[in-house]
Amino acid sequence: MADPVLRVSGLKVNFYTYDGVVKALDGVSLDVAPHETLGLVGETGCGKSVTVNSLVKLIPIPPGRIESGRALLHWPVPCPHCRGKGCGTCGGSGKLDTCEACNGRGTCSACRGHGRFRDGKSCARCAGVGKCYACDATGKRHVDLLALSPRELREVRGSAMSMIFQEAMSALNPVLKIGEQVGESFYYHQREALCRATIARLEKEIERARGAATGAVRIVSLRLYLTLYRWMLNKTESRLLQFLRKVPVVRRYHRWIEKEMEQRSLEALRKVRIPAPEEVLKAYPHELSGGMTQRVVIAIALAGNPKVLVADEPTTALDVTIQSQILRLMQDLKAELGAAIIFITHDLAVIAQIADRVAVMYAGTIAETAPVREIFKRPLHPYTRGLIGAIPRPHQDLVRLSEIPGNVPNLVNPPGGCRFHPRCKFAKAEVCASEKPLLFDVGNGHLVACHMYDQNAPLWTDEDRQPRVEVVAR
Amino acid sequence: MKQNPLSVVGLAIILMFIGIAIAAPVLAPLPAVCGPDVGIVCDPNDPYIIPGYGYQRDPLPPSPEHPFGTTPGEPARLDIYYGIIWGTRNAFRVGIVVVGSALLIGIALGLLAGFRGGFLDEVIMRIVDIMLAFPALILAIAFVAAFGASLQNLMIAVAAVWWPSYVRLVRGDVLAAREQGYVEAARAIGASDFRIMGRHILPNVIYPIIILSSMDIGAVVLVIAALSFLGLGVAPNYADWGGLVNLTRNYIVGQVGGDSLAYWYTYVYPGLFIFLFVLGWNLLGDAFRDILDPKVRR
Repeated sequence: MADPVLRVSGLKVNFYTYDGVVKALDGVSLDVAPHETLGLVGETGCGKSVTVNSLVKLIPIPPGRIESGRALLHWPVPCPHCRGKGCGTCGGSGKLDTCEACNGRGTCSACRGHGRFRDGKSCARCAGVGKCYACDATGKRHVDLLALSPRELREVRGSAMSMIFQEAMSALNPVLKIGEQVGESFYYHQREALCRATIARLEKEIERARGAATGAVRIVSLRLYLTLYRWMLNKTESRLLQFLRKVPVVRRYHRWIEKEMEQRSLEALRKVRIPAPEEVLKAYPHELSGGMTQRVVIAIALAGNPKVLVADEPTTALDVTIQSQILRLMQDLKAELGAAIIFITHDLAVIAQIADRVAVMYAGTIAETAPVREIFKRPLHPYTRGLIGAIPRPHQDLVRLSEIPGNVPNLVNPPGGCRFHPRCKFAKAEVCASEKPLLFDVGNGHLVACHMYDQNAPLWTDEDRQPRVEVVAR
Repeated sequence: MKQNPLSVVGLAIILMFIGIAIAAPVLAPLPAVCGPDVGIVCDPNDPYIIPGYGYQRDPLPPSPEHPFGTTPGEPARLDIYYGIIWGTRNAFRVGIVVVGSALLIGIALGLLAGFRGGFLDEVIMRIVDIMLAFPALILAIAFVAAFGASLQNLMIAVAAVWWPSYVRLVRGDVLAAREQGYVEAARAIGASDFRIMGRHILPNVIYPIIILSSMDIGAVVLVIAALSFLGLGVAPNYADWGGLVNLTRNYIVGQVGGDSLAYWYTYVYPGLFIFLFVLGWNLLGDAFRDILDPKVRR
């Protein structure tokens, strides 16, 4: 696999509730490759949403707490020397994409890649591996999402990583027009571009006013606006400008950037194929249908040009025809934008349709990840096998679908060792109950967290490992 | 509006009062000449001081010169009509300033307490609880007694006992609104806390406050009138409805041994205007609710 755009490793999240500590995530590790769609599946409460929400700290903290783990996001920033125009520092690309810790070498800066120091002590910085701890040896600029300051986090949210929510209707503010809500995202993340466009627009307007006879007063006011916007370009967070926006009369200057925002919102709505976007822009959320609101939410999510788009059950609240429209839309947009998608769902049919790779979650752990064809053809983890076996197949004449016995464990007191072992018919008391299985590479990009496949494999027969779907014949 | 004729009545009453307040210098001009030689006491620099006529105090019944009669002032007879007209301005000023400042404090603290939660919430709400545990009128009297009786102190006192209920109302709605999907969605696209509070939560929780505050303008005027009647408010001869009733305190019982309703005009006219003003704001508040609250919309 190419260098992942997002690498989550050992993510552990607990919720400290009155009933006890809910161990919601127990060392979740995920890789998301650029341009791929990762389907994250699992039953209700297994931690799918908690995983993605804790990456951008959208879980309630407290009671939640991210105990450990790293989430490295590949995130080139505009070159600070040339402001994205291209210069010697950034090699003309306008982007700064070199790991700051290792200067692009990819080796640990403390031990210089040896893993240990001259006196024989193992390097603590890289845990003795010698890889750069900040960029995972890729040499590219990565940020650890879990270690960001609140301000950096706000910058990441919506631009590097944005979200599509399940309930589109409730994700839109009922008292604001669609246009204002779509425009907001541009305002947060592309203020510089907005300012540039507004300045260009103003300059053109001044040229036009110069030709007209009554233009003198207008030119003066436009000049004033131009100065304000030039200033805004340099200090996007200026408190004074934010204050001026609240002052009557003076706040007229803000209309010009709003025009630009409206323009972009219109394009964004067109992109998600909303019919009559001009009208939708002026509508309130309750005036739109379910499918339309979901499209609007997708437009908002795409507004920041995200590298990773998280879709948290975007089709669950929709009926099947709209569902397929939205899925097709997302696939088209993905090809267009080149963003990676994490698609959360519990619908395996949707996964089969949209995902490139699948990660199966069970009780706060990743049970198995594999390319989508592989997971349906050769499910290895007993839980995945159970899931696939429980899908009704029209051509098979069944009396009863197979099932996984038992219930999802209470995460306040999760079972020790493998969290699936109490429900697993292959479980062996000597390892499964005591030792937590780690993700083990079985080839073909197929990783599975089960002792049947790792160094404990001799305890089971090949018969046990034979991927098969349980069928109860009539 | 159409379904509720009473709201039209409320609007009409308030518009009438606004008209009176704006046209006060026309409706009740200061006497052209005043001074000891014409027997009129007035302050040409402050029209809010009701001009006094003559050197006696006992009330005179309504007459062409004094349409609502006169009331005993210090030291002369005061024109009730003049006092009521200029008192309208005073009522608006008092109501809007007190409710406005209580709103500002209430909304700001309510948003902070509800949205931030935790320790801040705890501190703010316990202060609110303490404030609400006092009888409001007694607390306001205590404020005025401590800082001195003047209209300004009276307004500060009433505003100081008024804001806690707003904080409670705002906080309750914010608690409900902050759990909404759109707040999480705004956070997910990178909105800051203040931005979420101001742009996403405030517009969703503002309606109950607008309704309550429009009703409260009337209530505040009532409280100020009550305090003025108790003599805690304004300077003597100041155009204030409660103050007008206060002036006639000794005459309310009528003539000793004679007609007990002899001086009815001294308290009925100011009382009537207080009543109409409060009624108007209450009806208008109902109208706002009908318009703004979709649940009662038919």
